[in-house]
Amino acid sequence: MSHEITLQAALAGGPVPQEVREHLESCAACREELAELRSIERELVTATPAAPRVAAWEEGLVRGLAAHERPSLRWMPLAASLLLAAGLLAGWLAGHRSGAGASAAPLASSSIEEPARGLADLAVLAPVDEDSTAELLQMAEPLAQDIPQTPPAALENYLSPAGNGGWNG
Amino acid sequence: MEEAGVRWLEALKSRDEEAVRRLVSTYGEPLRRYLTAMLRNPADGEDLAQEVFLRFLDGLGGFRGEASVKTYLFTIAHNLALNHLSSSARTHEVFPGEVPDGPSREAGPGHEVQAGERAEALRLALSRLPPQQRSVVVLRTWQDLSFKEIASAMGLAEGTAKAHYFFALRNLRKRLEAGHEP
Repeated sequence: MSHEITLQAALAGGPVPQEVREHLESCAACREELAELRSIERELVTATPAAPRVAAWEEGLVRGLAAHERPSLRWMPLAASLLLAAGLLAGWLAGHRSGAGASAAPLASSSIEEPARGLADLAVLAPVDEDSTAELLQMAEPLAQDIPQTPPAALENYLSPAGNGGWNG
Repeated sequence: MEEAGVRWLEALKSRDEEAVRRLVSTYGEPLRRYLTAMLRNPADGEDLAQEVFLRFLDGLGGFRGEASVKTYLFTIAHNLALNHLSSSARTHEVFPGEVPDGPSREAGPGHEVQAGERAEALRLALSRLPPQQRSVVVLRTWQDLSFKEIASAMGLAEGTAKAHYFFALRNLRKRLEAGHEP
């Protein structure tokens, strides 16, 4: 058995194997080095930094962790898209209703003769409420064709946590 | 895993404050100390300890209790520490003087001053070990982990962890001897 293997086994804790004991009995150099390394070991234990507990840090950590709901980044792009779509729909409906209301109001009769602008254009195109959804989808179809079918490479990386060095990796 | 442990983990999944408090009070300080020793910077140690807890809680759904919570936490901590060390060239070393545990130079008998200096020299030598050796020594002597737990936390074979430990002690001895040379 080599000196190094002997010393590793002797420092590993637990019962010392017979062959290690025999080597140590016959090798003064190993006995001497083992004594020195064990001395360092004991010193290390007592040299543990006596850092005081940082109560404020711990308390802040507890509150932060208890309150923290880390959102899953995987769904963030989808959530953002849905929010955007909902916002556009709400905006269009608001414009549609205000346009319809204006046509019924006496003061709005003059505004019908003016050129329609922005969302008011959509109100002109929308015939009645029950068809508004289908109309909106029809109008959105050309826009949807402009959206790339595959996400850009950067987004692909973002959507794949495994590629970002997961915490098991 | 015991039923109480399972209940605790379930409470942790829902971020129950008392369960989180138990987690932090049990493992916060050991993690902070380990990471400070690894990164040689207390502020980085605190930041990374927080990140360890976040990752642990986020990944609790996949925790099957095969390893102890302590080993699991130190696995995360070790990986984060190595990533941090490899991604940043940190040269300032505030660790050795950060937490003097011995008496001041002005106070106490001479042998206590010497003991304090020796402890500081040892911590300095420890901070200059290669990361893997440093990690094994800190986990073994400061955190009292078994070599089996250390090997699990560091993703090593148990024999490799023991070898790292032996060579780390040998390195420390050499560095201390070199430090005493005129």
